[in-house]
Amino acid sequence: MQARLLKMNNQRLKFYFKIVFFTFIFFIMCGFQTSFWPHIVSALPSPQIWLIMIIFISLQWPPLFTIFYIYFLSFCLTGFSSIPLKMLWSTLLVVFTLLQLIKNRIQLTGAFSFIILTLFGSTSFEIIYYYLSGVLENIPTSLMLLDRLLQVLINFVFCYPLYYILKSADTLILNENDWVRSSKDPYEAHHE
Amino acid sequence: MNFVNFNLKKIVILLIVLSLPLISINIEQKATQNAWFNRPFVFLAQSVQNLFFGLSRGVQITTSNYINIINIKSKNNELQNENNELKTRLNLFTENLNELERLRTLLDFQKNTKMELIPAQVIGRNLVTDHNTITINKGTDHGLKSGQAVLTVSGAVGYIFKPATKTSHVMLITDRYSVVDALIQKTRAHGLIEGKTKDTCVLQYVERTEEIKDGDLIVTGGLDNIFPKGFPLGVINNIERKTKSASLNIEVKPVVDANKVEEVFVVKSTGTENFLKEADQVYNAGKAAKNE
Repeated sequence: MQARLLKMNNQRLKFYFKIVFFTFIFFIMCGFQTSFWPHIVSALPSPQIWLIMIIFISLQWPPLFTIFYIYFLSFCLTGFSSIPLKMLWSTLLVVFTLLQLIKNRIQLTGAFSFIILTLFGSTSFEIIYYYLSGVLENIPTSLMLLDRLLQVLINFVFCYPLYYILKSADTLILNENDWVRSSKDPYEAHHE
Repeated sequence: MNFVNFNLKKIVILLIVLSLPLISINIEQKATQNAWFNRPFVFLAQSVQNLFFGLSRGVQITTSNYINIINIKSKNNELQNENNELKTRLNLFTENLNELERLRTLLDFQKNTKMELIPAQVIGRNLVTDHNTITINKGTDHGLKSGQAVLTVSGAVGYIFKPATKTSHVMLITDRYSVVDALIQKTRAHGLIEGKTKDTCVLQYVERTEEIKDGDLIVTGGLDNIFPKGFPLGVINNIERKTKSASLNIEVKPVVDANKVEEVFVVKSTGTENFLKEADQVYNAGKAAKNE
């Protein structure tokens, strides 16, 4: 019993470490997009790798925890951008909901499935942001169709290598099955 | 007696053998000329000699060329490396020279103005295309406050809207939330510059009767207490005269390309700086003369 309890505590520690690690990665990605890419490649818009990461965790992690974690990440994001929190939260909530609805309807697995869903997620982010801006903001954003299309395309190019990096980090630190088990109270788990 | 039993054939041969050298001695007395019977042999010998000489020359030349090529190649590589190194150094010097010129311009600008300026570097851009902002490496610790103007030697860039301790977000004049008081330099008509897209602004509330054309310079009006008066903002790109509107819809291209800006100045205080002082005096004098 003690060994089982110890194992549960270990998993809980891994869980906390995973959250801290992914938060750290998120900050690195935002810094890369805002401060590194524009100075090196100024001709093309920088890839929204923070959005790719949010799409990844929306697809891979348990939904209830993930939506609150996305809210937390959006809060962190406001430090890098002048984008209002209400726009981020509302847009990402809709994107997250859409991803949850369609993720089980795609009969594909692995990287290819992730590419399709990232394409869908990026496109829906741009569309939803545009329409919600008209509803929630005093001065709505303009269409900028070419810029948005280019942004989606660049996200699409970067999602494939990012998938393997995120997937490796995800399974290495804490497997999904272990995560589900660790979220239970050790006392309850023992008495099951 | 075997005296007469000698072989005649052998004797003749012996005589010929002995006489030939004697004949040759006689022939060689005229060394400068070849005897007529010698010429074909000489000709043949010459031909053979020439042939071999040509062959040996060819071998020599080929060998020396090959050796030369190797030498030239190695010399060429050495020269190329040296050239590359010199080119790199030259590029470095050119870059340093350009930077020196740029910094000298910035320093001169800072020295020659009445404004109190804080230099800063652009360290980041916005995450999304819907907002046009940049991040600079100065914050409240350096005396920055919200609403302070940000400009370069060429023109206005924007203003501080979200200062933190070490960095600040600058709202560019092209951002849709940005509003800057502006003045058409030629006609002195006031208007408001509002951001539209990442490289255009719109000048609003300018009367239809104003005589303006593409290429006219738009400067800061100074009424918003953010920018000093008369600082370049943009150039008129397109003028739209709508029939049902009392004002013009003027598209303005900013003078400063915010995507390429690396160093900026934050205006801590404008002092009494007025970049249109002389122009204002001339305009007022002209107006007074007209009224008389």
